[in-house]
Amino acid sequence: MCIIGSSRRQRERLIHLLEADEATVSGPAGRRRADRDRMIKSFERSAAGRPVSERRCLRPPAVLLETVGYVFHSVLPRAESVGWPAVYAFCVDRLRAVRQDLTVQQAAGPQALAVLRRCALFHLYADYRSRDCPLDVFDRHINTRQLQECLLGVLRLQQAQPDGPTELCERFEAVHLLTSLPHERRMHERWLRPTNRDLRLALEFRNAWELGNFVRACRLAGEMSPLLQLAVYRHLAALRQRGLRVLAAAYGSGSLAVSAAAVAGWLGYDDVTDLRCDVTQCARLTERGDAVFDRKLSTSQVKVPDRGWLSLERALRDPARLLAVCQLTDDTQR
Amino acid sequence: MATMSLNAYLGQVSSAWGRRRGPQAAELLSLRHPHVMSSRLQLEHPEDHVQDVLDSPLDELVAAHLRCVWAVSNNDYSEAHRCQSAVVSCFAKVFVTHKDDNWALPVMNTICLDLRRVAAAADAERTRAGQGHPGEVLEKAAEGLMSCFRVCAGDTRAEMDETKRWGMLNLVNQLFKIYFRVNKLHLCKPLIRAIESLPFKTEFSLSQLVTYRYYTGRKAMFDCDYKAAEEALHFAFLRCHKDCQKNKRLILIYLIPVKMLLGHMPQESLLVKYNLLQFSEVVKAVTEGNPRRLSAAMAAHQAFFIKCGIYLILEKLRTITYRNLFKKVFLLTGSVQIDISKFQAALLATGADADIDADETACILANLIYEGRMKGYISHAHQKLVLSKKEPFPALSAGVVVS
Repeated sequence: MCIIGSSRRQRERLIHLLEADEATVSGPAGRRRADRDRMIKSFERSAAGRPVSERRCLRPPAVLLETVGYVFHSVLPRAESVGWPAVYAFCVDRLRAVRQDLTVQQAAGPQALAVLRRCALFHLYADYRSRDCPLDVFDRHINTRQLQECLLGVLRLQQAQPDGPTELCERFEAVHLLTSLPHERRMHERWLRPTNRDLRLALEFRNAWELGNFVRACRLAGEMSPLLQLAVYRHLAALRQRGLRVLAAAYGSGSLAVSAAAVAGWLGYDDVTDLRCDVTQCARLTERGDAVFDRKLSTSQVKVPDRGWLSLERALRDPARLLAVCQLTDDTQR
Repeated sequence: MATMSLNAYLGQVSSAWGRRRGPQAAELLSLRHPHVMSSRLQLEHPEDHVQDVLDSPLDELVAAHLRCVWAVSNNDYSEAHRCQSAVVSCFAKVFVTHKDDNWALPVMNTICLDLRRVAAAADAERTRAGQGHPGEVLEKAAEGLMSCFRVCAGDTRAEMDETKRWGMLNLVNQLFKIYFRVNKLHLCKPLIRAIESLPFKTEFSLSQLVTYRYYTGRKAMFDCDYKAAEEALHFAFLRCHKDCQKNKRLILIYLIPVKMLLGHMPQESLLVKYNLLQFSEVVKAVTEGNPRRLSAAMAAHQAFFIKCGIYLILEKLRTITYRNLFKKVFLLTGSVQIDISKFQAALLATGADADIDADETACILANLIYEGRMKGYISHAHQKLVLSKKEPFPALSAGVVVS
């Protein structure tokens, strides 16, 4: 997939683990031999006197779509064997090169749109998958910025489509809406009565979020499709943080206990044990494990970690099927 | 003026520039001055004529202006924008060489205003033709304005009377208009920081201060900092000239929702005076504590609210509506210990979603307690709300917790 650059990278010993042929994968990094079927063009910044990309190295949208498909079907599943940090670093770089090629040739049209949607999906998936990774492996801020770049590109190309918004376009509007909370405060008339289920759920989630209605927000999150759940995942911790402070203010009187199972249900926890761990910042636990909230702690800083989400774990069990699960396998014509 | 010859025009420009007469030079470089009506000044290629009379770099600036006049007369706003950008760029290079002198500030204000207006027209033209994406030209114009802003902001050594920093607020207001139009509010933050750090920030002209406070108020509103928004918009409304009814109405469009969120409802007479009856039903619905009426009021004028960008802010009034509804439940019950099911029934009777259950009702109650709109606590085991005997529903205007 990257015939032109492969010999230079081989010479400069820049072959990535995921591009090496099987015989040299486990050997030292400098001795890896390129497997031409696994090589993908890497990202390179423009420099003075050097064009961003030589013409013969620019991949047309159809090839970029194949490349991205290869990343999803063949690279992501290798996280089991080589570890997620290596796969993440590799995919981020190669998908950045893909987007660079799109930008340089100012590609538009259904294939370019499909490529950008897949790039956006990767960053959404990475945000969930990397929740326990240290900062030197995964920086959420950088990932979010790259996600926003992809989504803005998607929205721009969607607007330019001659046939008007399709169902998938509306789903990605919903994704953009959720990933931009709380900054995205625009409203459009066609959003007042959305026919698309994902868009309707995203708008209702935003309303619930704005009003602080964490019960409704968590319920809506549970009803969303995997694509939308990946977009909304980043807000769950903040929702729970605020929710715990609200509960401390409202239930924090004397020694009245609230069932931990009930609180876990309100805040969308899959596991009551996780809730019991987080709730101790504004409540004490009884012998039965119920929560007795302390009103005085309702104004304190509550910090809730990002937790796994059973619904997503089930949906994304097989990374090779990520595109199919998120219903992105058939969008190259629109 | 409308039949001015090229030589006469160039003579006047040369004289105004040479004598450092800012207002006069500004008029001669304005796209709104009568001289642009003269066909003798609408020149596609004025460079040679201008170079014969004026010295560099003024010749480049004036030539670009005359070409812009030609483009505007042909309704070619894309070309007009390119020319006006050249005018601003040229001016910025000249302006920075004026050491300890700010006589050319009126020129800067005029050409920057023209740049923004021409860019808006070019943007509309391109959008109609299906070229590029909306806001693209305006963003380029913002870059030109920023180049002038950097020149002004960097003039820190001149005396108060001579400093170019007096031009900063005008430019910031122009930039605000662009950033609000292209919905990039986050770009306003560094500009606000720059103005707030000026020691003479309150000494600008009142008109500029009113505009500045209007936009900072709107920005604070979108950032959910309602106290700061109220302060800024209140200032803008009070200090806006009484004859500028249109501007006062514009300020009120944002001040009214902010005030309502802080518990102050507008009088009907105010809405009538400024032709803002779109808010009338909303006010009645919130005061009455009727969510269904609020939804209907929002739907009745949804186009207006969406266009002004206040639809979501008004949705937040639902919290106050619930508070007023629950207060009615309390008054009807006559007891400080009330079953949550009664509140749930009230919500269902007044238009809440059919699937609202006790958990969600309790969540709404909990939020009202957390925000200080109700005093009391909830007993989960007994499924009751226990209100404080003393002032269970504090006045809406008595500060809330910012969450």
